[in-house]
Parts: sequence; C-alpha cells; structure tokens
Amino acid sequence: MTAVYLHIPYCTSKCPYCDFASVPINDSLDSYLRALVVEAEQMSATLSSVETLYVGGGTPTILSPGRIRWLLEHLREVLDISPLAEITLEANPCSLDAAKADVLAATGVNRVSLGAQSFDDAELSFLGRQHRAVDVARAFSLLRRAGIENISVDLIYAIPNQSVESWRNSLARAVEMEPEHVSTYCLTFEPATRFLKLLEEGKIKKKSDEGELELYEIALETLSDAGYEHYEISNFALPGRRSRHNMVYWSNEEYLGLGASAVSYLGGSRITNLRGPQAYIRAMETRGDAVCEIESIPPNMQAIETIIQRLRLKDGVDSDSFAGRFGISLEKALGSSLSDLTGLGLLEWDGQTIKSSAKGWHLANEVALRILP
Amino acid sequence: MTKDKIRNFCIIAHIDHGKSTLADRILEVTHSIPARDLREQTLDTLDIERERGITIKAAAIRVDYKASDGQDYFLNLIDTPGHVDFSYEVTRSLGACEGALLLVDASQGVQAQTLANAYLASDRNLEIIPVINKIDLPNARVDEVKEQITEIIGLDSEGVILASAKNGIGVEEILESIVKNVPPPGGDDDAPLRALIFDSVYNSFRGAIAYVRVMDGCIRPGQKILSMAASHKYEVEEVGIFRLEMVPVKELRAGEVGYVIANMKSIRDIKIGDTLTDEANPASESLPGYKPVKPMVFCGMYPADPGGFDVLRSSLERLSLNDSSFHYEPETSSALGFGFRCGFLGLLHMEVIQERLEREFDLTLVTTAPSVVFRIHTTDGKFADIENPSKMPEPARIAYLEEPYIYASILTPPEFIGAVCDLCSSRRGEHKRTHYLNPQKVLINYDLPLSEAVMDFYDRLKSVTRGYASLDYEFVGFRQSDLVKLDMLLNGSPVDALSCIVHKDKAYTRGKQLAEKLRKIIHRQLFEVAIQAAVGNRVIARETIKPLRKNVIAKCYGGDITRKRKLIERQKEGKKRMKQVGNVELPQEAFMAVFQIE
Ligand SMILES: Nc1nc2c(ncn2[C@@H]2O[C@H](COP(=O)(O)OP(=O)(O)O)[C@@H](O)[C@H]2O)c(=O)[nH]1
Ligand code: SF4
Repeated sequence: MTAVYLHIPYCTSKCPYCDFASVPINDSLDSYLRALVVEAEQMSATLSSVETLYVGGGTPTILSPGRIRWLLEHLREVLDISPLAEITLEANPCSLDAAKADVLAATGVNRVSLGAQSFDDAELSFLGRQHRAVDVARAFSLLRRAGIENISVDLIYAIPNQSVESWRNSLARAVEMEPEHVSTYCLTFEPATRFLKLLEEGKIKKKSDEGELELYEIALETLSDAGYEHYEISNFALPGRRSRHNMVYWSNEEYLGLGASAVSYLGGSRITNLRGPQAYIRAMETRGDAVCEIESIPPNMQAIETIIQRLRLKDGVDSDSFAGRFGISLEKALGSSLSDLTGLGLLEWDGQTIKSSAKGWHLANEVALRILP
Repeated sequence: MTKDKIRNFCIIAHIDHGKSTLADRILEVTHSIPARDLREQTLDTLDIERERGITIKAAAIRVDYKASDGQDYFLNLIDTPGHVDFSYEVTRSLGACEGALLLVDASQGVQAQTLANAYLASDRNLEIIPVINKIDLPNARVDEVKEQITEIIGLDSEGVILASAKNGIGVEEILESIVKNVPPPGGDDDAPLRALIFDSVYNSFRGAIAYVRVMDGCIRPGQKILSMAASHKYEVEEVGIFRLEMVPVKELRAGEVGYVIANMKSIRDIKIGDTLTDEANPASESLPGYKPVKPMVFCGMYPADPGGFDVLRSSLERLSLNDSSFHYEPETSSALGFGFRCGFLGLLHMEVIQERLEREFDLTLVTTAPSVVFRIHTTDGKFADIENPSKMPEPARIAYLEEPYIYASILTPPEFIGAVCDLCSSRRGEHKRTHYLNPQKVLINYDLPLSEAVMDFYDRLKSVTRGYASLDYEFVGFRQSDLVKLDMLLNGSPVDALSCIVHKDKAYTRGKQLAEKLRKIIHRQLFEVAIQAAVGNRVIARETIKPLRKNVIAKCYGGDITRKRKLIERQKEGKKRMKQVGNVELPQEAFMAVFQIE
C-alpha cells in the first residue's frame, strides 16, 4: 500500500482563516510543476505501486487543463500508479470549468474533493471565498457530467454569525447533490491567520463550545439520516466511500508527500519539505531535494501516535492488529491511562477494540493528553 | 582620634528621593572608594535592591574628610532602609547617630515618609540638615519645597542645602554642614560598656556580625560581653570599623561605630535594638527602645513542582541567614502539598523575598494570598495568634477575635481628600484626623485594619490620587473585630489554601467576588465544577463551571500529525503546572486570586 500526496501551493487569493502553505499564483508555476515531477521520480525507486494519490493545495484547479494533463501524465510516467488507485484532486468551485472537469476524468482522476464550504453567499464572502452557492452546484454537475463518480463536499461550520438555519440549509443543499462523501470542519482560528488577529482584536466573535456542538449535532443527524456513515471526527461517507487516502493518515501508516511544505512519513521518520514554493524550487534545482526537517519518531511514540490517530476513527484501535504491528499489547502501551479514560467515559474498551465514546470524540485532545507520555 | 572629630549621621528620605545616590557621591568626594570600584549605589548590595531602588539592609561606612577648617574628621554614614516595612530598623539606625540629612526630592516635595522620618529624627533630638535633591530636574520646584520644609516639618529654611546627587552638586556643602552642625558624639569611655546593635549581617566565613554604635565604655577582643535583652553571653573575637571592607581595630570606644564578631552563630541571636554590655561590669540600664519585631504579614509558599521542596527549604534557609525579620516554618496544605508559611514585616518585604527566591534560586513558587496575624481568644480565657486562616479553631471555642490595626498617615494634595477618605472607609478605616500642613499638602490619618491594607491598598491609593499620595504607617496593636472565616469549596470540599478571614460585613461581597474570579480562572474540566463560598455551614455564593465538552482538532491529515502532537504536548506541560485539588485542576494564579480582587 503506498499513498502519495502532492501539494499545489497556489491560490488566487488568501482566505482569512487559512494556514495552508499557499501563495498567489505567479510565474514560478511551471518550474514548480517540473520540480514536483523530479521529486516524484527520485522517490519512485523506494515505492511500490501507488494505491492512493491525492493532489491537494492550495488550489489544484487553478492549473490550466493543459497543465493538469501534463502533470498527471508525467506522474504516471515516473510513478507506478496502480490501475485501481484512488486518485483524488481538490477542486475549487469557481476555478472549475467543463474543460478541466473533462481533463480530470480523462487523466484518471476518480475522486474530487469539492471545496463548497457553505451554501450561504454572505458566509462565503465572509470566509473570503471567491465562489457563490450557485457555483458549487454548477461545479458539482460538471464533475458528474464528466464522469466523476466519487465526489466529496467540504463544509465549514461555526462561522461567526452563522445561524442554525443557514447551517441546516448548507447541509441540506449538500445532501441534495448526493455526494459520496462529506467533510464538515469546525472553523478554527489558526496562528498567523487574519481571522485570529480579528478575533484577538475583538472584531469577530468565536462561537461558544456549546454553539459549535449544537451545529455538529445537527450535521450528525442530517448526514446519518441521509445514509452517511460518520467514520471520522469530521468525515462522513456513503458505504464503501471512505477516503482511502486519508485512512492512511488516520491509521498512521506510511505516506510520501511531494512538493512545498509536504510531509512524508517513511521508515518511522516524518520528513518535511521547505514551505515556500520558491525555496522548494531552488532546493530541488540546486541540491536535488527540498527536505527541511527530519523527525525520527521513536517506536513507543509511533505506537502512541497510532492510537491517537486511530481514535479519530469510529473503528478505533483493534488490539490484534496493534500488537501485530508494534509487538506490544494495546493495554500495555496505554498503561493506566486506559482505565482512567474508560472511567471518565471517554473511551470504550471491550477487550478487543478501543473506541472513542461519543463524548470522547469531541474531547480527542483530552484523550491524547492523557495517553501521551 | 578624639570624639570631637567624629560625626555619626544617616540619610533619611522618602523612597526614590536619592538617598543611595547621595551616599555614593559622598564616598566619591571623600575618596573612600577608588573611582573604578564605585558602582552605582554601593551601599545597596543586592541586585534586586538596586533594580527596585530600595535599600533593605542598613549598612554603614566610615569616610575621612578634611574640612575647610583644615581638620581631619571621621564621618560615619549609617544607611537606613528606605521603606515603611522597615521603620523599626530606621529607628534603630537613627539611634546610632547624632545627625540626619533629610533628603527631599525637588520635584516631589515632602512625602509621607519624609514626614515620618523627620519626626522620628527630631524625637531623638538629632540635628537635622535639610537637603533638597535633584535640583537639576527641569520640574524642580525649589522654592515651594523649601516652603514645605519650613511650614510642614518646621525646619529653618536658612540651613537648607540645594543639591543634585546625580551631578555632584552640593556634596561638599553637605559635608561641611555635617562637620559644623552635627554634634560630636558624647558618652563616657570609662563607664560600663553600652553598645547599640543597629544591624547585623551573616558572613559564611565569620558567622553573624553585629553592627554597633558604642554609647559608653569600650569594646575590645577577648572581652566577655552580654546582650541585655536576649541575654546571650559571648566572647568578642574581633572588633573593627567599616571601610569598603571591614577593617579590624584594637578597640571601639564611646562614640564610635563599627562591627563586633563574637561566637554568634546566627543573626537570630542578634536582636536589632539590643544593648551589648560587659559581662563582668554590666551597665545598670540598657539603651532605650528595644522591642522584638514580629512578622505581621504571612503567606504560604509552595514549590510549583512538588519535587522542589528541598530546594525551597534550603533557599529559605539561606535567605533568612541575612534577614532576621523574615520567618518561615513548614506547613502542609491539602491543596498545595508541602511548603512553608512565611512571615514578613510587611507587603513589600514579602514581594522582595518572593522575587528574590524566584530569581536568585531559580524557583517557581505558588504563593497564597497574604494574610495577617489574627488573635483568637478562646472560651477558656486563653488567646493564641494564628498566622494561617486554615488554623482557625472551631467556632464554638472562639470567644472573640482581634486583628492588627495600623495607624496610616497619608499625605496628599487637597483635591484628593474625598477619594482617599472613600478608599479608607471602604477598607473599614476609622478616620482620625485631617490636617492641612500647608495649602498644597494635607495629612490624613486613619486607623486601618492591617488585613485591609495588605489587600492592594497601596496600589489603589496611588491610583485614586493619580500617584500623588504617599503612605506611611505604624502598628498600633490588636483590636476586637467581628471576623469570620470564609471558605471556598470546590465540588463540596474546602480548599484550605483559599480560606481567608474577613470582616463579617464583607464576607458576602468577598465570597461572591472570589467565586466569580475563580470561575474565570479555573479551566473547564471534564465534569461540572461547583464553586461555593461558605461561612461556617452557610453557603453565601455559588458559581458553576460547565464541563468541557469539546477539545478536538477538526482537521488532522498527513502534514498535521507532528504539529498537532506538539500542540497537545504543550497543553500537557500546562496541565502539569496545575495543582490538583480533589479532582479539580487549579491554575496557580487561583491562589493569589484572594488577594487581587477589588
Ligand atoms: N535627576 C536626578 N535624579 C536623581 C538625583 N539623585 C538621584 N536621582 C535618581 O533618582 C532615583 C532614585 O535614587 P536612589 O538613590 O535610588 O533613591 P533612594 O530610594 O532614596 O535610595 C534614581 O533613578 C536616581 O538616579 C538627582 O540629583 N537628580
Ligand atoms: S483556497 Fe484553500 S488553500 Fe487557498 S487560501 Fe483559501 S483555504 Fe487556503
């Protein structure tokens, strides 16, 4: 099983809540794409057949149809991509047109994650998004028409001033389109974003925990009524439509990250590339790699991280596969925190599997705090 | 050297009026210190004192001065502590002198401690030489300040010297005036020994060292001596005088200032204000004015990290070697674990010690809110002084309670009289007197419970008078008071370190404020936390902290795992610094909350 992530660090403008590595589109684009392919080629030797490929950003659909084709064709040349691979690309409703949708389908992209965020135009403009609700529906049908059968829709909730009604409406509009997968993200105020600054200046107001939970509960209810399985804290899927790529992250398995700011987890180390696209290009051209940090995770920490990641999933941690992977029993790895956490009602343990309780899911950090050494 | 060539003097001033700076200039002008050794403010030896501009330990130095009359003089400069917490030490230092330089800042004019110190000096019949300092300042108001000196303090404006300690202006004139106006010491060399102890230090090689002023007789090595109040006996090992270092001499005679090293183990053996006399030929009467100093303000100090107890103990030990007015003893709190109850002369003294512990010994401390000594009269007719609110006996055994009172002197411009009186009466003050010293200065006196004055009174006073008022105080004893113990409960169990003793009329408001404050300070926990304020069995205020229901990272993909783990590790570090009380985690600032509400 090999998972590859590819980062396209360009956007038309910066959204005020965003802390991803992304810069305004500029003429470094072509050198960047070339550098990406070089990096992919270099790493290919160490890889077996690629089972999931995820092109994220930034805004991958900012690329012209020609460039999308060029990139995917070159990736196929240098990487051994399995015919059954899940190939996902993140799409932005306003930069997606019929030509791009067709190119995606033609180059083998079989899953698209559509950044809808909201179906309320006022919320969209507050979030700094360029598109409007109508664009989401339009983009969605373009993708379907092009033959993309697996589409995920991203939504954001707990936007300041967001009403319960508008959230219900966004969920209903999303469900109406019948996507295979829905991600609902609680708006967070990340360091060095404009929203955090506005929050600190008191110019915008964060919802209370109770307010956030209320919206979350509404999502759970609406989406499960519509037949979606709530399989990860923020993710919902129709049967068989979980994100195979993201499952790799949540299982703490190995993956290769390519491009600026991309992170790889290989051989027990987490390897991070330089963040800025220019720095990435320069490093690739001059020294042939763009690594800026290598963190070796000691085996016991690998085990702990795996538990913490797996507890994000509804499935939780299975004791047999855990013991098989780390050579230590789950109970031993957790020590006394297991009984503490079951006692607090945050975890459920039936002797075979440990899962987060409904309460524990919202308190995943509290669980992690108690599990970390 | 005959007595008529000796002058013993000190400098008295309100804090920051330039005492230490002037002392340095005097050392410089008399070439007592090679210029390269002269750091800023030599007499203040500790960094922290230099930084905060407070002289804590009185020190002394002897300088040689050739006066304009062509004669050589010995001038003993005795430094006095500059803060109201140390007024007893000031008094004792004054006892070693015949004259005092009264330093007044040219821009600030006469302040509460100027007045208090001037009264102390004139009570002792010291010759007072008024000096207006900082005349170099653009906002110096020399004429106005001169007027204040005559009108308020009652000194003759003729003798006022204008100076700038900073720029060395007026220093020669000051020295001349000392020689001319301060009387030489009296005393009888042949009478039985009487030496006043006005300070002490601890030296790790020599042990405890007493600073003395010989009043009568003579003290020399080999002599058997007796301390009259403490009744300890010693054999003198060495006597000497103060230069920049201590210089041994054959003997110290009546009128001289110097040090005595005997087999005194700790400075606790040496009581400031005590009289040393000859064991074989004792004086019939000790020198006047000795009284034991007792700490009045207390707080609990606990290591933030439970492993730090031993380090804290040895740090306290080392600090107390040089500060006999600082007391500590072990105590255990169910909330905070093992720590110490520490006693101080006053609030500033407490702050200085806390800071010194954290800085010099690299300790992180959890300090409980300061409290005062309460005197508890029990139904069996006995009384006891308690330093810790949690040590209060059963209400049924208490006959009545007393609390310490201070007599506060507040000097303020007249426009703030209303504000000052409002503040004092809100602190249960009893008005004594409002006295117009002159059209710009009003002296307001209140009797105030000390417990109210430790509650950020000084900061409030400064703020309601836009910084213009100054404060001085003295203890006036214990008074009966309607006090109750206010307990704070978390999920039903009392937190001993948060208990406080308050006046009955204030219990409700304080309880409410405290509960509100704690609600803001305590983080949400995994369960509901009930905060209650109670007097006896009666709950007078209640707040609840809703349980934490959400602490989760919404997005966690490949690039986030390490970063998010680090974030949680930081949260975990923060959690470690919390104190666990029952099942509730309390941040350290909760223990100071009792103190910081208004
Ligand atoms: N402008 C001016 N500042 C002075 C003078 N004398 C002292 N100071 C400053 O006043 C502050 C307090 O002086 P210090 O000697 O520490 O005061 P103490 O608290 O009385 O010992 C310091 O910042 C000194 O530098 C002076 O004659 N002129
Ligand atoms: S489009 Fe996406 S990656 Fe680009 S700035 Fe907005 S949120 Fe960030």
